Amino acid sequence: MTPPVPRRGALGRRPGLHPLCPLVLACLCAVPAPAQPWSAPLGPGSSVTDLAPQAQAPLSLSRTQDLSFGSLIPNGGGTVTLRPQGNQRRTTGSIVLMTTPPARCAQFYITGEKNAAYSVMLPDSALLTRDGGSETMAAGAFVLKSENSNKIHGSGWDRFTVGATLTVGADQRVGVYTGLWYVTVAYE
Amino acid sequence: MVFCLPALLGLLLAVPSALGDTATARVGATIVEAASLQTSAALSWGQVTPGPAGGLVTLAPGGTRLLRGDLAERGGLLRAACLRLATPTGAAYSLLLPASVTLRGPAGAPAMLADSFVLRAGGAGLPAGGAAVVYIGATAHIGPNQAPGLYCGDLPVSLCYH
Repeated sequence: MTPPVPRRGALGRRPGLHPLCPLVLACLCAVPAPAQPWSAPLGPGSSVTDLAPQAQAPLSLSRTQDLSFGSLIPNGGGTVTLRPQGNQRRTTGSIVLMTTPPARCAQFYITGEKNAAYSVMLPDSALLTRDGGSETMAAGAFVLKSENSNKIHGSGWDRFTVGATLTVGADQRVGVYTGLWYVTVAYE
Repeated sequence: MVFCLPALLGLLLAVPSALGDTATARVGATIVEAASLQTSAALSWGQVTPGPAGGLVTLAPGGTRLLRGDLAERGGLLRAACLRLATPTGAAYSLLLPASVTLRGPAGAPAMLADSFVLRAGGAGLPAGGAAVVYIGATAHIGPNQAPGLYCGDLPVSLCYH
């Protein structure tokens, strides 16, 4: 008895495949691919390898410097704003700034798809707690400045700095205050 | 489904790594004490007797006295003003002295002027934070036939942060 000849459709369907598989694949192909189109058109003889998209290089973010407002005397309280350009501090109120240790913006290094735009998510606020105590100060109004306007360089990297504003109480207790905050980056 | 599943998995696995990344950073600040400035000793030029032309009495921060003009030495307490100050570590500051102050004496006597204030820090000089002792000298202008009596004034000293 002659074995039955497999039927082949337009997509080279083989025995055992669900009839809806081509439709599912077609739907997957319709998902917007922000970086690269599919590497091969769908057609007879296509394989899984042929259908794989050229994925974007993963975004990788690393901190190269923490944010520090330096030393200061409350002198009635106020705010200290550390701008992301040049580590310069500005104050409101009568706060007295010490020159050492110096104030420093946070710095981040990011790698990813060449020439791709990315967005940065900064926190609304961060809480600083006195070492060995429970007194707190709040940092907010985080602002960033990207070296390449939030776009990965052609060489696959970018850098950005982040500044913020610290609110200091009139009777802020003497001590070292620290806190944690998070930065998230994503492709646009 | 043998064909579809690998394709679906391949897509799902590729997406998360391209979505983004998160980093943690620290934020810090140090609150320091305000400076303190205390008078440890008042400045004293001692005693002099003026002649018809008057003169100048200069007391150096080290406590030595120099008379110029028509003045006679009469001894007395010779002492530079002494201030003790404590500033935060890393503080950049300076001490500001007045150009002159007025010394007032007995009722009806004309006032005298003190100026040319000179400051000298003890030890290794003004430190960038910590404790320090500062001595201040000045020059008193004695008028012709200045009326006898005790002449006093206030010497304001300001600590200015930079």
